[in-house]
Amino acid sequence: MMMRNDLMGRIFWGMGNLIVMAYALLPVLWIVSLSLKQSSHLNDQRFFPQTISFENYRIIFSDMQFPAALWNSIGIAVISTLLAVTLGMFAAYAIVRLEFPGRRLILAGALATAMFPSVVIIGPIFNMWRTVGLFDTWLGLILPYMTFALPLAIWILSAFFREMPWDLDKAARVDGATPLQAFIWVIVPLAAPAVFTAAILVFIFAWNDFLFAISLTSTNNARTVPAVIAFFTGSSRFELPTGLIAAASVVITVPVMIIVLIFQRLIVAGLTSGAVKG
Amino acid sequence: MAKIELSNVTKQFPDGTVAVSATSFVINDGEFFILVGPSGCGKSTLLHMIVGLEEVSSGEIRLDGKIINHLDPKDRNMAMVFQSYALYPHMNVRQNIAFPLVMAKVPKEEINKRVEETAAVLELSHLLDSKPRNLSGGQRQRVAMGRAIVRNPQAFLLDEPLSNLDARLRNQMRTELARLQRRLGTTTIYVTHDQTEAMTLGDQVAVLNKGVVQQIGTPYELYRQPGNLFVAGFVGSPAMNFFPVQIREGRLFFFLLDLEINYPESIALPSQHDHAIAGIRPEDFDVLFNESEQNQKQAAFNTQVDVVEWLGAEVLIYFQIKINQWPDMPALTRDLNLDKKSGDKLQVTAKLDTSHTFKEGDRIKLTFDMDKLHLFDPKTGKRLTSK
Repeated sequence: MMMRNDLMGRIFWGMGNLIVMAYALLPVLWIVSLSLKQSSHLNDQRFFPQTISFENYRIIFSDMQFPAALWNSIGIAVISTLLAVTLGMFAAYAIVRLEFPGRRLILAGALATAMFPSVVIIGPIFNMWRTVGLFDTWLGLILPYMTFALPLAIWILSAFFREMPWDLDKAARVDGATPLQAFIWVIVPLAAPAVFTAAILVFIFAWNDFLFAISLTSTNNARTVPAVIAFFTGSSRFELPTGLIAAASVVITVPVMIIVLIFQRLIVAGLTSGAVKG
Repeated sequence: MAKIELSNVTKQFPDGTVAVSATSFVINDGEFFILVGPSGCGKSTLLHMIVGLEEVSSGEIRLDGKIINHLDPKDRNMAMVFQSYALYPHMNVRQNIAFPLVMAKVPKEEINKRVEETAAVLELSHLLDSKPRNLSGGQRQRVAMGRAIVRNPQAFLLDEPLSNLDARLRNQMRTELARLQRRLGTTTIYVTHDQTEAMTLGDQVAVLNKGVVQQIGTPYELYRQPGNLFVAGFVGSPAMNFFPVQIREGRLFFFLLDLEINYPESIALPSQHDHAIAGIRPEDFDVLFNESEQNQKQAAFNTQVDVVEWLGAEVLIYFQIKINQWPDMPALTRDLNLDKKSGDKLQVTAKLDTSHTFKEGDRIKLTFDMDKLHLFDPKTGKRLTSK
């Protein structure tokens, strides 16, 4: 009887996993398949390409705008992430550890900012950026990305800091560390899992954004990949750039997936175990 | 080497609660000083103020004569062991112990040498490369001690360092701690809620309750001459038994025991009261089999054994007395569970030697030495002074 229940359980979970994985991965595989098809085979209604061709990849990389956009995407997303996580770390630590009036208000305010639909502010930002000269610059995108991602970083990190035993900061202070040294030597290394979690989410947000990118850029100076894809055209007016779009999508999706898979190993829960009795 | 003086140190939190009120005492160089009291009595707050993790609301803390109220914790050169040990989980034992030296910018070779020495003293040498999460409770405790002693601080501050260990290990570490402190001769302040630790370790013990120091003295003084009802009830295990007594023309009437005695000469009774609270330690009871053995100084009464607990070297006898009258107890005993209603039963404990066997239901005659009686003022709870 036990054996049978065990077997049923395994089948149940196996099937469940299979369904979820298919649901998540089929669209990705479909895009990969499209990107590897020759343009004449795009509508052949087959899942697997008959002949594998890297033509689409060659075309997008030979065009000047795609490599430029890739560079913009990487630079803008990385800088936004670094800024948001660094500022978020200081802010979250202060909110959790320091007694000052309005702590809760700041947290609530941060959440409210994150809830603000970005499409509402895109018009004013567009006008402001053109006036102050931030339109079509990296900084013009980094600022809104950082601002919109900061609440998320603060929330993730403050939740983590709150769980961290306060005795650790105190011990470091008694052991001769300044508040900043205690933060850098003891708190930051322990916060690594939360920092990576926040960093990944912020990076994905900045990397995938289309709205700000399409509205606040006009040239290869700052246009990111999601925005550039919208400007793809076929080789003639009768041809849809489906294959090129698929290839570009693969190029920007796969690195993110790899990064997440690598960092996932760093997000090790239980890194703090052993700090206090438990 | 340090002498620590507190004068009128008070801690009031922003919400108005007074955690520590006007506390003054002196801890001499090399002394093992204990702060003991029930949880929430302000002893940890006091320790945090001494080490600089909490600000002092008013009063002064002096270290070798210099006021250190506003000195940053990192500049006080005091080492602290936390109840949770607070080991840095991402560092191995070596890095944990070395941390205070790294912060003090001690040269690398010197750090290595001192860490190795400290590890040897604490028998941690084979664990230097382990992470805290792979250590047992006792080993973690030792690492925390190592981190404290490696820098030769002016004082050790220990915040319930043994409370996370199991009973056997706790006894062992207690002895080790005492030996280590004696060897190093460093001024030590030790916070605990465990009166056994307080009595066995301390040169001086301060008993705290609700942020107020009740009494400071050697363990012997606290045990023999508790300054008030709280100290009397807190120090000693099993706890002291309390009986309300009436004072009638120079005699004490234990109405619950139906016993009247001449009050001991050593106690000065206040004339303004007609009753008092008498305390008898369980170990001061004796059992009497033969009436003729009773001497002049002893008082005797009959009772019936309710529960017998045999501990090996001694036996605990519990008996119950029906309460027909119980006075209001002083406020400072609130946490000692001394308030009774008439109709309740008073549980009394006697600790006897095991030369006789007892069983439940036995009728026995108990005696106590009148000289060992403690008498307390029924209003203030203060000890009625010895002559």
